[in-house]
Amino acid sequence: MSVDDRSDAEIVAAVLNGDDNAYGVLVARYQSAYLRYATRMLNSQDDAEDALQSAFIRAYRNLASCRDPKRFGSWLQKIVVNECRTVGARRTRRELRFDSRPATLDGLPAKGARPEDGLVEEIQSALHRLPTDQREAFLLRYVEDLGYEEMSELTGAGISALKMRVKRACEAMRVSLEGVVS
Amino acid sequence: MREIDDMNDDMDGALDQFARDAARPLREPVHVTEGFYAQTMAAVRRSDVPAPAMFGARTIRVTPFVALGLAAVLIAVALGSAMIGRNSALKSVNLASGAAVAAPVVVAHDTIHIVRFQLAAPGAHTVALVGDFNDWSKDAIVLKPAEKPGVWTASVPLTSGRHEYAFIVDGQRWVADPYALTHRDEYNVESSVIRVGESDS
Repeated sequence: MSVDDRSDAEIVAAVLNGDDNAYGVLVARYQSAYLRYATRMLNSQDDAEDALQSAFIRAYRNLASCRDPKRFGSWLQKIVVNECRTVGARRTRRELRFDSRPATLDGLPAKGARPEDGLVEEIQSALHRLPTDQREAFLLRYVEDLGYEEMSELTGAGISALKMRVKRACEAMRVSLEGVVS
Repeated sequence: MREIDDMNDDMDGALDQFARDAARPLREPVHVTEGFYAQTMAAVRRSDVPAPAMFGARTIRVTPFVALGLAAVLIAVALGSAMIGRNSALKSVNLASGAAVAAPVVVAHDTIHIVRFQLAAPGAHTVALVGDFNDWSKDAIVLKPAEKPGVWTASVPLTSGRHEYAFIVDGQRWVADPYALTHRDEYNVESSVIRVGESDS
C-alpha cells in the first residue's frame, strides 16, 4: 500500500474503467475508520472485520450505483452501518442456537469470562447492553461526530427519533457507568 | 464542529458532557488485523466486476423466489423445445440441464456470503483451510488466532451452494470440522460440508 493522492471520485472512475487495483486505495483509506465503528457497534473485532469485508465487497460490486463518487466515503459508511446491523442480527440468532453447546466455536467470549479491565472495556460493555438502535445512534453522534441530518441519511430514521435514541442511550450509559465516567 | 440547529434539545448540558466524556476513549483507533487488506482485496478480485453506470452487462437482483420461478419458466421452455424437436433428444436434455443450472446461477453470482470458519486447536502453530472453493490449496487461506484463546478463524467469501472443506493443522494434520456434516470421498478421507445460502446461519 502506498500513499495515493487521487480523490475518491478519481479512484471510483478508475475502478469502473477496469482498474481493480485502484479499489485497494479506497480499502486502505477507509478500513481503519470504519473498523472502529464496526468494532464498537459489534463489540468484537472478528465480527467487525467480517462486516467490513462484506461492506467493501458489496460496495465494489455496486460501485456503479454510487451516484456521487465525491462522497464515496459516506456511501460506503451507509453500507457499513447496514452490514453491522446484519451481522449483529445474525449473531443474535447464532447465540441463541449455539448457547447450549459445551464448547462454543463462534468466537464469542466464554460465559463468565470478563473482558479485560480498563476504561474502554467498561464503556464498551455498557454500550453493548444498549438496544441496537440506541447504540448505533450514540456511536454515530458521539464517536463518529455526525450531525443529525447525516445520521438520518445513514440510518433512514427521522431526526426526532434519532434525538430520542441518543438521549435514551446517554441516560442508560450514565446509569451503567456511574463512578466510572464522571 | 456542530451547528446550533443540530443540537438535541432533549439533552441537558450535563448529559451531553457525560456522553462526550464516555465517547472519548471509544474514539481511539482500531487497527485491522494482519492480512485483512489482502483477504479483502482477494475477495474483491473474485467478486463480480462492477459494471459501468450506463453500459455493459449488469447484475440483475432477484430474490430466490423469483429465481425459482425463472428457473421453472426456463425449464418449461427447454422441455417445450425438446417436445417440439422430434429428432434431437440429446440436444433437448442438454437444453433442459443448462436451463436448470443457469437460473440459480443468477442468484449465486448476485450473492456472496461471508462465511467464518473456526477451529478450536489450542497449541497449534498454524491452521489452514482447504476446500473446493480454493482448489484444496493449503497455502491459500491461513486462519488467524481469534479473540478467544486457542481458536483459529478465517472469513471467506463463498457463493451460494454446497461446499466441502477441511482444516490443515500445523501443515500436515487433516481435520474435519467437528460441528459440520461430513462427507467421505472414494479414498475414505473425511471432509466437512457446508451449505451456503440455503439457511441463514
